[in-house]
This record gives sequence, structure tokens and C-alpha cells, in this order.
Amino acid sequence: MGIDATGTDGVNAIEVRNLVKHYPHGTRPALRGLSLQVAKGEFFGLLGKNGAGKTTLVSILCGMLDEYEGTAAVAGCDLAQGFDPIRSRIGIVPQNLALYEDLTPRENLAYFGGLYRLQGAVLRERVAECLRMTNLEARADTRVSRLSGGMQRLANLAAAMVHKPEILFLDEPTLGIDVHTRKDIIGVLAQLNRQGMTLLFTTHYMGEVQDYFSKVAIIDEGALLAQGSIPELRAAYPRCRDLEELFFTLTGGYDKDDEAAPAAFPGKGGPA
Amino acid sequence: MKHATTQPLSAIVIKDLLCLCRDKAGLTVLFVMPLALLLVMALVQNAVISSGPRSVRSELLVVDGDGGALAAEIIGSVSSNAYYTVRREMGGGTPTPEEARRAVLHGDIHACLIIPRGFSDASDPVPSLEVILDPTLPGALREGYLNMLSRLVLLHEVRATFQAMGVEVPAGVDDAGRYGGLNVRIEDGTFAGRKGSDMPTVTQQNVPAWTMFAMFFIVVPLATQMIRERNDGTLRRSLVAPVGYVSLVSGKIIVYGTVCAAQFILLCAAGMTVLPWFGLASLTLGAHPGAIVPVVFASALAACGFGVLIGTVARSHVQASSFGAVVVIILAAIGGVMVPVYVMPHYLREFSVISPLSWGLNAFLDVFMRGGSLGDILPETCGLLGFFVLTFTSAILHRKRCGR
Repeated sequence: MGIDATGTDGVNAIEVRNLVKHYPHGTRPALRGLSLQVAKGEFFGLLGKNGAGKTTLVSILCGMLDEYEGTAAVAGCDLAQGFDPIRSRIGIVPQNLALYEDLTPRENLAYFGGLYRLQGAVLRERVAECLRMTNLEARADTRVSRLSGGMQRLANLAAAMVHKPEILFLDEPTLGIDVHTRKDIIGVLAQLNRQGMTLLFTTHYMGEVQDYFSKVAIIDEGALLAQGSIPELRAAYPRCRDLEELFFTLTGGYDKDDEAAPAAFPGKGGPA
Repeated sequence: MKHATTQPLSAIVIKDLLCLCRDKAGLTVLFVMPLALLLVMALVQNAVISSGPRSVRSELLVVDGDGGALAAEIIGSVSSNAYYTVRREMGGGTPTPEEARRAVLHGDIHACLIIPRGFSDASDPVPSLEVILDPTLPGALREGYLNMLSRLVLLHEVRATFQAMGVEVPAGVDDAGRYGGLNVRIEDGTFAGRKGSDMPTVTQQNVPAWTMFAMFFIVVPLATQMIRERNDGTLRRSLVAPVGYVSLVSGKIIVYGTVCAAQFILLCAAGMTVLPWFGLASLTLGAHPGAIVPVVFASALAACGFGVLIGTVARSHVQASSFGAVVVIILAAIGGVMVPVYVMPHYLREFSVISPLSWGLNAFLDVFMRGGSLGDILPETCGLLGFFVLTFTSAILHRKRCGR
């Protein structure tokens, strides 16, 4: 079945088939024949260790990388035909804090909103709404460099949603922040998802997120290990108590540098 | 769906303007540094290259061991010269010839004239005047001393010859316009007989020179900003939006081009108000000041194009700031910013034509000093615009090729 490039209803928000990506100086492919689908309105979790290929996949889907093999479609548009048709329909929350640190959250949002051709009262309303949703109103006029790490992450999220994208890509948006701020971010995302936005969320902190995911894909070394809803995966792996345990089971233990690894696991190979 | 390009561009301009305004170090480099350089270099150069009566004259230590009429005549002639000051004392007393020689050797004084005993007497042979010059003296100053003294001696001999023949000395024999009976007309070169500046001044040389330097020095903050955006992810994020790299860069060119225009206005204002406080001539804009506008516009674009190219090609802040700054300093040096081109050796003067700073400086000087109008500055202006096209295009192509 080919990629449907017409963008009509019933088409997956994201559809990837046999995606392969080689970096010039890489020892192995970053993506090895990866295939997955994300339906419209899903809150989709993409789980993987460091170096599994999550950021590479997101970069391809956001048009940041254009040399790859296989097929990829976003919002029904085949990326091989060009990325311009979907630019205004997607947003990205990058892993790095991609904000202007000398500007305030309000100014950052006004800038990014302006890039999407929002202006005047419409822009001001959207900026105010995003600041309200992320609880940044009180610090909206403080320079980003002077905000706490958690508030910077919230501002990073707000900048991605100012133009109301249909699909939002989030590349480890809760990296390095405290539990309370993570909860705030997840709460905002859940609200966006209820409003119909499709979310592709990459992470390796899955404890507080798994209750929100409508579907999950687990990848490792560029290949898909498992995909499905949480109940489906539980049914397929009944010995795993939760998503985290399933993740460790499928990926063969934990990164020795990974802080999220539970102390109970003895090491690579994990419990049966 | 058609997308208007002005809305993203205005958002980009506002963003870059805010970032620049909050970069205190960058603002210091852009505005304070050129002012300081203008003031210091104008004062330093004033004594060396200004062509009119100056507030600082060259000193000549005179040791008069003769005390006669001829010695007095020579000392009087030097004293009446607008460019030299006669000094008769040193260390609170009258120096001996040996002390005078030592003072020159130690660099305490640039030149001394020793008039020996018996110089004014009509003895045979006439004792020689001794002129001691500091060996580190620049050639032009050295020749100035020697020419001044030679002329004094020659005029004395001419008068003595007429007197020995019993002929009245003709009036105006020391007139600068008469050389051996030939009439010589001296005038300042201007375009097609138009009136230029009355006299080239240090101010008229240094204001446009340091303006060009300041404009091209925006390479440092501009390129640094571009690299910061590349490294922190804001560029990649911006490019996900429906806006192209050319638009993102064009916003920067608008902001930094405006900064270049502001630099020009600031330095002109300093030339008209601040430099006169220090005894320097006030800046005048020539007979056709409107011709300055295209020069400023083209120079600003050329500087921004260079900054964009460095910002695109350089991989780090260190590369951008150090490489960009060094290139600008070299182009400024060979372009006549630090030292006027006409005092450079011939082979360096040939190199000056490759420097876009030289083109801009020449265009400014055409307007300020040579009465140039729009047509006269066209070659340099076109050269600067061509430089902008070349650098900007190179930056875009480099980005497309390398994806950076």
C-alpha cells in the first residue's frame, strides 16, 4: 500500500515505512528499516535508549534531515514531494532549549508566531493563551536566561504550540527537570491532546507518561521492537508489570549511564 | 495558499533588534570602539599628516655657537616658519653641541641645528652648519627638516649674490610661487573644477576611514549571533516554520545595515562636534552631501554580506570572531584606514585596490574633499554592491551545499 499524499480524513498523521538513515561517519545505520504509524489525535510515545534513533526519526519527520531511504508521510503529505506543504501544520519541541535566551517568553512566542504569519490581535491572543496554559504568565516578561530550568522547558513547549499545529513533535521535552515540572508539562500535553492535537513524544522517562499514551512504539538501534496500545503490549508481555519493565525486557537491560534504570534490575539480561 | 513575506520578515527584524540591543558587549564594539579609535587616531595623525598650520609643531633644537648676524638670520627664519618651533634651551640651560647630539641620540628631540663659531664671519672656509637628525624619524619629516634648512641657506646665498653684485634684491625672491624664474601654479585637485574642501584635514581623512572600519567590524557580532543560533537550535527550529533561510538572513541584514548607518551618523556627529574640542578641524561634508547616502547604503550592505558569509562558513564563535576581526584589520590596513594610502610604499598602494574598505573610503573622500557628486562615486558604490552580492550568494550556496 502506497503513501496517501492527498491529506484526506482517515489518513494517519504520521506514517513511516522501511526508513533507513545512514550518517556519514556512523558505524551503523541510525535507522534500520523502521516502520510505524501514528493515527490522528493519538498521544504516541516513542521509547528508546540513548542512541536508539528517536531524534533521528523526529528530525526526518520535521524536515531537518532529507537524505534517507524508505518513505515518510506527515499529515498525509509524502515528504519526498517536499516539506513546504506541512510546515505550518507541525510544531517541534526540540531536545535542546531552542529559545533566544536574551528574549522573554513573550518575545520568543511573538517571534515564532510571527514566523507562522500570525500577527496583530490574533498573535497577541495566541501568545497570551500559550503563556496561560503553561503557567508562565507571571514570568512572561523575564528573560529566558533568568528562568528556572523547568520554566525554560515550559517556554520551549509554549513556543511550539503558539501556531496551533495539527501535529506536535516532542523530543524528550522533560529531560533534566524536576518531577513537578514534568507533571505540569504532561498536563499541558494532555490538554492539547484532548483538543485534538496529535502528539509524538519521545522519552526514556516513561513512568509518569504511560497513563497518557494512546499508543507506544519501542525502538532500539534504529529498529522497531514493539508497537501498540498499552493494553495490547501488556497482553503480549504479561510478565511485565509496567511499561518500564517492558522496555527493559525488550531492550535487554539498561544503559549503565541511564539514571532511570531501577536499582532492582541486576543488569543486562534483566529478569525473565 | 499564498504566504506574505513581510510578516515573518518583520518578526525576524524585531527579534534580531532585541537580541542586539541586549548585547552590551556587542554594542560597545559597534559604537564605543569606533568613537575611541576615531579620536585617538585623529589626534595621533594630526601632527604627522595634517597639511595646514597645526597646533603641534616639530621642534628644532638650535645651539648657536656663533651669535652673529647670519646665525640670527637663520634662527629668525626658522622661527617664522609655521611648521617648526625653535628651542634654545634644554634641561633649564643652554645645551652644548655635545649635549645636543646626545639628546637626539636618546630620542629626546628629533633634530638639532648646531651653528659653529665663526659661521657669520666672512672667513674661508666657512664653518659648516651641523644638522643632527633622529634616525627613527619618518622619511617625510626628515626631508621636511632638510628642505627647510636648505631653502634658508639657498635664499641667503641668493641675497648675498645680489648684494655682492651691487644689485638691489628683487622683491618676492622668496615668494613660494617663483622657482628660478618659472611660474608655478598650485591648486587642490577637484572634480571638473568643482570646489572641494578648502584643505584636506585629519578629520576628513579619519571620519570616513573609521566609519568603514566600524561598519565592517559588525562581522564579529553578526557572525557570532548566527553561530549561536546554529548551535542552540533556534535556527533549526525557525527553519521548520514556513520561512526560508534567505528571509532569516535578510532580517539580520536589515538590522545590522541600520546599525552601519547609525555608526556613520555617530562618527560624523563626532567629527563635527567632538574633534573640534581637541583642536582638530570640524568635519565638512563637501558640496554634494546627498551623494553620501548611496555610499553609506552600499558600504553597509557590503559589510553585512561579509558578516553573513563569515557567520555561515565559520564553525565556532572563536573562528568567527578571530578570523573575521583579523581579516577586517588587514583589509583596513591595506585600504588606507590606519594610514592614508598616499604615504604607503608603491607596492602596498597597488594592494589597496582589493580592499572594499578602500573603495568606500575613496568614495567618501570624493564627496568630502574632491567635490564629487553621485556620478563620481558610482564606480566605488557599484564595487561595494557587487561585493555584497558575491558574499551573500556565496553564503547561501555554502549553506545549500553543506546544509549548515
